[in-house]
Amino acid sequence: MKTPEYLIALLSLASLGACTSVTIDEYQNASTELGSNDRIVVLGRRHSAEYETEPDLISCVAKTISSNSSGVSVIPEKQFVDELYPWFEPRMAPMQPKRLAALIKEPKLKQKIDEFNLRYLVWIDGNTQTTNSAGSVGCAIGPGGGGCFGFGSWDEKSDYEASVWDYQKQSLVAKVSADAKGTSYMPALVVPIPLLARVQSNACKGLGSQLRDIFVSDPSGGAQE
Amino acid sequence: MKSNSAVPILCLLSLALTACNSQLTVKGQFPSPLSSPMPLHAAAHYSPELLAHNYTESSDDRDKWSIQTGSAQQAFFDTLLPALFQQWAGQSPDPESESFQLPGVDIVIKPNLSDFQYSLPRESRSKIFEVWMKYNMQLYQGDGQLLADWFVTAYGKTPSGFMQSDEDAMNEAIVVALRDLGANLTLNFARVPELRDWMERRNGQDGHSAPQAAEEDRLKTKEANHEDS
Repeated sequence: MKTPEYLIALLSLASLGACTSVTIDEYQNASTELGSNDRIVVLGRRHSAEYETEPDLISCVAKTISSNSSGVSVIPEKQFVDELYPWFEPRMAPMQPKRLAALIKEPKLKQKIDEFNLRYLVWIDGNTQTTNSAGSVGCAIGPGGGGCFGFGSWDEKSDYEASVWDYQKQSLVAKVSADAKGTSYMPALVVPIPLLARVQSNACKGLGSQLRDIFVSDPSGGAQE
Repeated sequence: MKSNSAVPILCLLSLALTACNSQLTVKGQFPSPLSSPMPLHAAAHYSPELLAHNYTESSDDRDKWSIQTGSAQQAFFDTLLPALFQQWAGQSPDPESESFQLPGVDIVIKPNLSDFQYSLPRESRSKIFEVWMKYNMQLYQGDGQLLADWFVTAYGKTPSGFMQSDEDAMNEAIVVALRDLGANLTLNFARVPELRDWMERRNGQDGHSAPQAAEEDRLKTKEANHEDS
């Protein structure tokens, strides 16, 4: 049985569509010390009027940090923000580590944070957006059937920066940035077949893995590049 | 036969007409604020307009949204307000009504939604739903005398990408706006000048030195937080 040529062409495109480039940069100015009961929280910045750090990206990074038996306990973002309401709402969330000191003058807030055994906060700012699109796909239906024909493509770009704050010392521990780019394709030969570049997902994995290395003590004595 | 063929046409027409109509009754759960309560015995009055608030889009250029926020607003205020005061008396009659008296209660809060606006992704060419709400807050003494009257604004937005539907995204944006209102009130309620002056006068008359000191501490803490943020 011969493989149809268009199927080969689609598979070739699929391999192209899977390509996403991710660049991770890290700056660390202090080592981390996570005790056995210490926990961290990963929070999204939501103060910008033009974009919003996606909640699914935050939960993906949190999941990646606690994966691979890392032993890092991550407080779910929603639970943390709800139980400390309204101190981590966009209007009131601290923008600098030293402002945590002013925040915990509210005794109930300090008590609640202590109950969480919070040691580090990870703030993630950024988003994923479509930067360019080209081509078109048209669909038609008639008495004899229907189908779609055409070709579309679009570029996506993720740009995230994570800041790690030490709650106890109220200082910045590290910054990690993740830039990811990729192009998705949508060829349509009767049936449209989306070949998606997993840009946000790859940015999440890159960012999450790098953050996990910051928190997990490394036998070689430093964070991995 | 004629009537049979008209049925699918009517169905298609009704579908076309309702395609851009969205009905939404806002639902949400609101957390109680972590805040040192003010040394006051308070109550709230929700006007029938607030409880039955229904925004219906009247512009021909926009999608036909009908948004009911009354029950969500009541749920929000019922969670927020009791946590802001040391004693809570629940719902009060309208303090503007004749012969209003609520003995033992220091203040009655009457929130009024004076403006509600939204923006859809296709209008702002972004992937976010945005909501703005403007409240006229009125504060009455237990004898019905107006103590303070001021406006507070709230803003909420939510990305559309991870939501199941436009209605879910709009619901979430309104819930975020109400949470923002809660943050605003938690931070700024004790700073309303008329309320501060009244509390100072009252504490001076009653010789309530301990609550006054507690309130001053609370204001100082909030002042510091605000300056830093």
